[in-house]
Formats: sequence, structure tokens, C-alpha cells
Amino acid sequence: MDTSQLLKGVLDLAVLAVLRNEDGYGYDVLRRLRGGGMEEVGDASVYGTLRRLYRAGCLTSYVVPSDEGPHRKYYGLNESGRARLVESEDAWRAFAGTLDDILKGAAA
Amino acid sequence: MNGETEIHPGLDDYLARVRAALADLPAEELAEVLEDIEPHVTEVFGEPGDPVDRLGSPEDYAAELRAAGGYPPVEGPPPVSEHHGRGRFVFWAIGLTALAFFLAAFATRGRTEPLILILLCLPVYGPALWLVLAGRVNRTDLTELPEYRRGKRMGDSAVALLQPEAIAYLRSLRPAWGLARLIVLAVLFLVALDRGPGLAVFTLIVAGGLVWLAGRVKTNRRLLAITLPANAFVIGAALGLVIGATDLGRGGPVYVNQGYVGGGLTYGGRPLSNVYAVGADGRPIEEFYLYDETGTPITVDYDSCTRIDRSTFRNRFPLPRVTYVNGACEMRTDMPFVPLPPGGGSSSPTVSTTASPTVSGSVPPTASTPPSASVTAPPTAPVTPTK
Repeated sequence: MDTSQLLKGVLDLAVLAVLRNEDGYGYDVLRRLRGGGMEEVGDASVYGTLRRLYRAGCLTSYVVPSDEGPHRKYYGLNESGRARLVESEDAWRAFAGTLDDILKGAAA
Repeated sequence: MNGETEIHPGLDDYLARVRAALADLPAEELAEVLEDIEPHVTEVFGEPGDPVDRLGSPEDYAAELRAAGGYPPVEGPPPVSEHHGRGRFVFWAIGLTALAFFLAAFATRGRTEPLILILLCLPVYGPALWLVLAGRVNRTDLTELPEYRRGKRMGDSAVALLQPEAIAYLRSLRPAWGLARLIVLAVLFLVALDRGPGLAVFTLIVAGGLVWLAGRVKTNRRLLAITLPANAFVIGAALGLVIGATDLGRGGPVYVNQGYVGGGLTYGGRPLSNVYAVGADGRPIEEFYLYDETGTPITVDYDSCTRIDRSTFRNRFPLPRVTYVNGACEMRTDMPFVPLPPGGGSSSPTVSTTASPTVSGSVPPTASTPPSASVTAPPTAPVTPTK
């Protein structure tokens, strides 16, 4: 099944989650998501999501110069971002539990 | 960045197209986005595999980013549509013209007639050239075309199949191409001098144009609209000349020491410049006509003093020989040797006053074939015409 539609709804939460413990630049975030099993997440979607969360005031950003290549822009959670993550995580667990119940009910 | 773009072909172009597709974003936001994605796209281009396979086309990439980023969708079709029609016309007109230049040059073999192909393209090429040179069509009007992108992607993946060493080698040849194409045109000019004066003039114009454009096209990419067909002409001419040259042994015009034998007769793989016949009484037959097994005259072009006496009786033998006596050109049909009576002296050479030792059924000696080395085949051996 094509999970890209499902991914769209939860990408915000996933991006916030992988930034919870450590700041990261775009490609970092992408690698963490893919490493975590979200193979199908599109490169550009991650960058779009980062920008949208930033504009929503959930992220801070700062540029780190690099000797090897172009400098990198890191993103990290601010207080608002952390609050949003907790909120979204609760919503997700509730939603996932509800859906799980529905699926079990349908199977029974 | 410059160092990166040199290593990864297409990177600059890719980023420029993403930038163009997001051009409607507020400048500040666009700068932020680019700051994110430039290192990313650069890194992906540096990884193994086709970056376009992974990222999608620049426009797809921009659309995905736009959707995920919550940016407003583009209103209506992309802004390029204004010149889309013109761009498409120019793209196909110049493509077609380049093809016509290529085919005409390939088929010309020194004659002027194939140039008519180029003439046929002028009604579309003229306006297309004007649109380009007058600035009515811009580079993006062409590069945004789906057919251009598809072609470019195919070209890029073809290049990607080559070894990096091969690409580097081809790059190193680039300066030589400037000289090589002039050499090709010079050869074509020389071939054309004899057979197609119109082609000779056209070749000079192409050569002059290429020389004039060589320096300018680097600063004015619009001139590519001219250099593209011109280069196609050179490549076509080069291929045509090479194939024409390898055709020589298979019935193309053949130059032998004693003059021009077009169509050509060969004996044992060696071009013949003439054929003589001797009657049963040992006397030369002064005039005879050759036919093949289907009754088709075996016609041969031959040298003559006037250079026009080629149309009639070209299957009449022996072919007149061109000789020069006291500086005056003379056509002679007498034999350059004294024949042995058939069945007489077999293969022992006969000393004669006029020329050389002979063998029944042999051919007149040429400068490259000393008389003593003449062919010792039986008199009945076939003389094969090659057309």
C-alpha cells in the first residue's frame, strides 16, 4: 500500500520527534526519519515541513559554517515546539488507539 | 559552490529551476528555503544514483516543498506559458534545421543538389532565428519545454553511462573540434570544387560563419541557434566523407593512375583502367561494346581531353586513352602493347616495340603494376564490372 498519504498527516509530529533530543540540519532530519523506518518520506516534504514549523514558531534555526562545503542551517525545538510535540503526541496516541479499536472491532 | 557545480553536471540547472518554480515566494522566505535545500540537493547530486530519480524533476521537487511547507499554490499555469508556443516553434524549427543540415551534408558527396533540404527548412528556420536573435524567445522558453527536458534527461543519462575518464577525454578534445571542423569543411570544399560549385560556395559560407561565431557564441548564447545547424553540417559532412571514402573499393568513383574510371571495372579486386580485345587471328578488335549478363551496357566514365565527352557510348571499348604529345592532348584507342595470338605463346613475355610484355587476357600495365608482374590468369577469366 502507498503510505505517502498517511505520512503527510504525521510528518509534523515525526519531524518534531526526531528533533526532540538533538538539533539537526535538513538532511540530518531526513536521515533520522528514514533510519527510523519512514523510507517513503520525500526529500522536499521534509524541507517544506521544517519551514512550515519554523514559520509556526515551533523551531529555532541557526547557521553553522562548514569547512568542507556550504554552511548548514540547523533546526531545533523551542519551548513552543516542545509543547506542540507533547500535544501532538497525545493526540496521536489517542487517535491511534481509537483506530486500533475500530480495526479490532471490525475483525471480530 | 563553483567547485561543486563543476563536479556535478546539471546541479546548477536543477537549483535554478527549483528557484524559478518558487519565485513567487516572498524574497526572504525564498532565501531561507534555498539556504536549506542548496546543501541538500548538492549532497544528493554527489551521491551514487540518479539525483532526478530520487528527487523528481526540479518542478516536482518545488511542488512537493510548496505543498509540505504550506505555501500558497501557484496561480494558474506557470508563467512561462506566455512564450510556450514560440519556444516550442523555435525548438522544433532549429532541431529540424539542424537535422536538414546534417542530412544534406551527409548525402552531398560533393554535389550541390542535396542542399535543397536546407532550402526547404528556411521558411521555418528564418523566423525561428529571428525570434531568438531579436530576444523574443528566451532560454527558459526552451528549457521549460517538456520535450527539451525529456531530451536533456536522456542525454544526461547517456552521458552518465560513460566512464568519467571517457568524459574527461571528450572534454579535452573540445578545443580540437574548432580546428577539426575547419579541416572537414576544407576537404568538402575540395571535393565540391569539381562536382558542385554551389556546395563549394555554401561550404565557404559555413566555414566563415563558424570562424566568426567561435569567439562570440561564448558570450552570446543566442548565437547557438546558428552554430547548432552549422556543427550538424560539419558532422554530417565528416560522416559522409568517411563513408564515401570507404565506399571507393565498392563501386564509388575510383581514381587510378591512367585517369578516372567511375563505376569501375575490376579484375581480381584490382581496378582496371581499360579492356582490350583480340580476334582469333591475333589482330586487335578496334571497337567493341561491353554488356553484362542482363544486356545492360557496362558503362564507364573515362578521362577525355575535353572533359565533356562522357555521355555517349560509354560502353565502347577500348576506352580512349588520353596522351599528351608536345603538350597537346590526344585521344588514342590503339593498343599500348602488341598482343600474342590466342593460344600462341602462352605466358612467355613478348618483346615489342611499343610497350610491354603481355599475357593473353591481361590488362595494360599501370605505373603501379610493373609489366613483369602482370596477371597470369587464363584468357577466359571474367572481367567483373562493379557499379
